[in-house]
Amino acid sequence: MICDHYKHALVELAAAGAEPDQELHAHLQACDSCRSLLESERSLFASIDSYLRSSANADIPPSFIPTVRVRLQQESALAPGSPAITDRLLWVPALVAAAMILFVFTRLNHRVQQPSTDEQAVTQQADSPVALPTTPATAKPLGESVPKIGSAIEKSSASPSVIPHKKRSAQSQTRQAEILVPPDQEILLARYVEHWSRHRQSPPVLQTESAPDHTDPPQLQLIQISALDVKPLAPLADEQEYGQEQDRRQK
Amino acid sequence: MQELVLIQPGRTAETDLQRGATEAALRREFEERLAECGPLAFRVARGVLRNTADAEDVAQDAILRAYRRFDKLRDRSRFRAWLVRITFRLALDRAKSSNRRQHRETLWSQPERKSAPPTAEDLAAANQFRLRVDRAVDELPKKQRLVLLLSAIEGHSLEEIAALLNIPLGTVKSRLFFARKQVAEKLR
Repeated sequence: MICDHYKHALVELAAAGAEPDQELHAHLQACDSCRSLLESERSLFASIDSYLRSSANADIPPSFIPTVRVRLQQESALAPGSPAITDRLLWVPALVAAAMILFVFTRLNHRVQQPSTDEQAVTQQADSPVALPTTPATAKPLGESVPKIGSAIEKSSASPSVIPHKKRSAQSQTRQAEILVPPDQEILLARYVEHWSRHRQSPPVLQTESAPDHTDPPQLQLIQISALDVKPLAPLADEQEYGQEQDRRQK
Repeated sequence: MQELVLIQPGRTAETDLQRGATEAALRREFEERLAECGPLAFRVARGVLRNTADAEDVAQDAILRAYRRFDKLRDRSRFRAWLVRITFRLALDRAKSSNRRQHRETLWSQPERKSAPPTAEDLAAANQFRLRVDRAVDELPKKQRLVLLLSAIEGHSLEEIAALLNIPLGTVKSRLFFARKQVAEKLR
């Protein structure tokens, strides 16, 4: 028990490389195991130190200092630490950073412009007589699905030619929801809008109402003929005269 | 009212001359210090990397780096500590990025032993011991490792280490104590 009490102190004593105090010294005089423990610990630290010293104090290669001097000469050709080199070192990253900022700025600007042109197209579409419905028209009952193209035209004609950007987008959003088209006319309307967008200069052809659906083929009854009664045809008066004239000429 | 500035054509040449003279003085001073501190830089690098070629490379890089910024060092008496820190940091970086640890271990240059040639068993035991010490030292915290390394290099005293690292003597003692204790615990 006593030795266990001193064990920790002995290890720390060896690690510190110090001499034992009076109490510990007295114990070491009396206890052989503690004395041997201290000796083994000291030898362990001594071997660690000697190994670290031998590895850390290795001989310097003879080429080390001359090589460093050569490299220093090469370096001094670039004027080390002078304002010129520091300026150069500062200017290069600064220029690169400026170029990157410019690039990012132009890219962002380009991206901002792209949506605005898209919105313009949308508003132009809304200004056009008809626009494709954004909400599914099939959700509405058939009775209500009366096209309000006329009202859309009125609204578009009533709208000012120059509308602020925000207003215009808001208006386009509201207008798109107003136009209701029956589900069977969606394709036709889409074709019309496509055609209209291609040929804006030509006057728009209004398609107020479409004909009823004739997609199904008409059902016709088969003609039933009981018997064919083919009678010989009597020659006409003109034909008879013509034949007589021909005979005369031949003669 | 616009100010008029008189441009002196000979002035730039004069400043160039002054700058050249300053650079020459700086270089002379640096080379003087290099002779004194170069070996220490190499040994610090080698203490971390345990490879002569890598240590030489790292020490040269550290010296060049110090040279480039030598004019910005206000207190020139701190050059030794400054160079040691640069070298130690670079060596640690190199040790981290290096994948040649196994290779280094096999090519580990043995310290010279002037006694009788050891037996195979002794060599094996010694190699095992070195490997374990190296591993234990590598696992030490950076600050403790540097103090342990400096205490081993060129027989630096604790006071010298404290002056070199610009830290109190008590801090050096405690760092060294804990570093040695930790290494010894790994070896038990």
